[in-house]
Amino acid sequence: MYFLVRKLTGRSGGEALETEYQGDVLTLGGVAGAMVNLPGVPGLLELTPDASGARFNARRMDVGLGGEVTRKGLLAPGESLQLPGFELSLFAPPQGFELALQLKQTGASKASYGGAMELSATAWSVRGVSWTLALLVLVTCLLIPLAGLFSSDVAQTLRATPLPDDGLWLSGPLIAAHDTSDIADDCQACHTQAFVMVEDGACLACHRGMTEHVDIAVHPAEAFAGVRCATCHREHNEPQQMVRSDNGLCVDCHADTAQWSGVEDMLPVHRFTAADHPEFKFGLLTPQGPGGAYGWEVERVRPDLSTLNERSNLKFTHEVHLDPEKVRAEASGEGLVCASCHTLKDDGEHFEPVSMDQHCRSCHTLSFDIFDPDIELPHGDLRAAIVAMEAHFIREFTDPALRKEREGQKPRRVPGKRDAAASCEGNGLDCGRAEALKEAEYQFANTGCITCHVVVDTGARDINDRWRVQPIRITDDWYPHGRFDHTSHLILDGKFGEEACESCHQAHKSTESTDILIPGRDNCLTCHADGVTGPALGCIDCHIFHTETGSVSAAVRKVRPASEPGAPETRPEGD
Amino acid sequence: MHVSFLAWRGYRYGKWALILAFACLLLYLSQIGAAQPPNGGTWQGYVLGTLGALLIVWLSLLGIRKRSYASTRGSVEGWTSAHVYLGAALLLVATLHSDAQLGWNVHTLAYALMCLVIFSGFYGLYVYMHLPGRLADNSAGKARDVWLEELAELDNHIRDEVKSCDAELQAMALSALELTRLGGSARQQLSARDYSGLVRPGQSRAVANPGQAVILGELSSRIPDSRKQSEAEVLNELLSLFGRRQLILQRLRKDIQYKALLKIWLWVHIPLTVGLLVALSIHILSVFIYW
Repeated sequence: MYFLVRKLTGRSGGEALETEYQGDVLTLGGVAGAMVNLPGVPGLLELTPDASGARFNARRMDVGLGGEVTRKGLLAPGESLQLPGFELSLFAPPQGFELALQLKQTGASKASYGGAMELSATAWSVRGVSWTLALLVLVTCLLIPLAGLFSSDVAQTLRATPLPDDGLWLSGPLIAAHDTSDIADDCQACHTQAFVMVEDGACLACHRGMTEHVDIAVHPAEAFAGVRCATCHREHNEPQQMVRSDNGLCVDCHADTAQWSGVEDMLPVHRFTAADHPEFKFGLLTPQGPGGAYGWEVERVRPDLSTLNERSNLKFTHEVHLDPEKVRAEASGEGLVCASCHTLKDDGEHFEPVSMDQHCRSCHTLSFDIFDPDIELPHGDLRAAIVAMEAHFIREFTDPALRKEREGQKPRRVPGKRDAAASCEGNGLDCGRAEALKEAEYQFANTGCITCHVVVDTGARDINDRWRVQPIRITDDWYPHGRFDHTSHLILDGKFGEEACESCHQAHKSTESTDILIPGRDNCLTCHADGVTGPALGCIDCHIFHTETGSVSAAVRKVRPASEPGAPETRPEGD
Repeated sequence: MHVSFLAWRGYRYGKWALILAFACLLLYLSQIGAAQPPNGGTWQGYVLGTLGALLIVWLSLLGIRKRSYASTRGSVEGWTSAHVYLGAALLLVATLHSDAQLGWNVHTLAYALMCLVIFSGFYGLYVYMHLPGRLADNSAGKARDVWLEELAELDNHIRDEVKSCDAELQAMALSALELTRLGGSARQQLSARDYSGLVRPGQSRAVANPGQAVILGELSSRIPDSRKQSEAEVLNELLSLFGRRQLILQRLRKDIQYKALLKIWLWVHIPLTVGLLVALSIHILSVFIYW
């Protein structure tokens, strides 16, 4: 299709310049790509030949036709189309042309070279970019991940592919213990319901042995109503920290203990200072009945060293045992140190029990016959010890060869031992029994068992009922509601080893086994008073929230065991 | 005397922003030693986050306020002053809200978009303060259309004048007019590089003609060789016309460049603001979906 365009040029438009164009549509305008360049015209005009003239379509500008402003229409011969600065009209096309157009400049001409001179005229539009970005963010970060909420299959598919998933909503890393494939890859492992805070069932499904702060059978549980696991344990935090370490965890309630009913002797606490923290409470083992005849109970008492004694039934003095002039280790010949008897348990707080066999027996042998010093009494069983003595001496006095040999010997004297008879008039059974009774009387009244034990002479005739050795129970957990790490205190204010132990436990000066060598609050405060000297202590540096004596959370919070179908799930209260 | 909108009402909003920033800092510091480490989920984090979200929405409303010519809700100058200062304060508010915890998630996306919006705003502030003076110096008191009309006159003048020259020079001069380039793509507008060309006699491909230098060189080299005085006069006239043309084109290119530099940041600032509003909504929604 051929077009002829006649431009009236010259100062007065008196000259004409004709140009031929070929194409399906004739385009005119001041923008790049127009076949006929019309400087200053902001848009593009498309002309298509029609039986009765030419159809026009103006883009990004308005044109005038017959006094009306329009964008589309039909330009008939004889009419003129007004463009900014130009006037268009048709004239009869010569042979070979489908359309002939005359162009006349009507206004001052502005130079135009095809290029856009405003940013808004370029391909990028602020609105277009805005919409694109908004939709991109909406689809990527919300709509696609949201699909996973309605179907776990979709969620799994999204997570398994590079498509965006609900991991985009992750608000922070999980702690290492939770960063496992089961939990880290599946938000819904904990966030079981959309728009509902993480429920306790999600935690207790795994943490089945977790206990509450108190035993709710003993303490009223109202104070804990509405407290969720996540009230204190917040995930997705940086630094990753699941356990509250602020004093508020405890003192939010424990600062106001006066309001509590049914709780005796629970003093308020605000922080660890002399004024704001009560004296510690011992968990002192207290014998029930004479000599612990009816057992022992832990009594919670505040230390008052002027009146308080340990009643372990043990006779022992640290002062003598720690004096190298008096006691030395048999193997090394060195004086004893704390660690000779006290071995720290793996928890760093408590000590392995001191035992007769392991710690005492090398010096305190239980031999009872100076003629046969290798034979020792069994320890810890009174009846067995008496039977052992009787058996030994009866065998000795009923063996003719042995009796003959002993008759030739003089009675022996050994310091700390009974003067043993070498001979006896009478039959072997009576002699043996008599000798056993003498030895037992010596062991339980003079030196031997009585050295360490409290022995009661009942006066009974029967040797088996004559004495009662009171049992020994040594308090091994002085502060059952406190935690302490001996390991980190073995270097204490520049002191090491023995000196470090002695700085809190004055064992060298202890002359009685009833002495309590466990320090109280003031000893800790010398270093740990809040903001005074050493590092300040927060509540959980010494205390734990989930106590061993607390009720089992899964039972209290009425969470079904995870093995049941549909678990974990929290039933409504009162279910 | 003209007072910058930054100094509006004695730096009123600058002071507000400083007070706001200080209050937010105190709020953030109150989290030290608290139950949780600082983050968006503490009560202080919620307060800072709510404040940040409200600020973002309010800052976005400037685009609506400045188009509402009939509005009586404060002057646009006051709004713009507050927009700048409170926008700068938002950077601190949102950083304290997030405790600068970043990750590959929608929360960080919102934060990153917000930072880009704010920094593009800083760029906009810089060009608004420095470019209008240069723009006015360059345009020498005339509007762009006036320069374009003068350029069109010059081009017509050249077309008339060049008719008396030989066909080679005529074709070359007309091709220089025809192949003059002004503006173009965003990159071309911003660079102000001259992509003009011309076709040398006997060649079919155009060569570069930056600053009309090639045609000016051709004209000046022909002057000594002209055989008639009238020819030399025409060449001199053409040389003067093309010289003037060079200057006007240079001015127009600078004009286009300055105006593009004045506006280009809005191509970042506004779309990213829209993206930010969407990301912010998703950020808020998503933390409550997985509460």
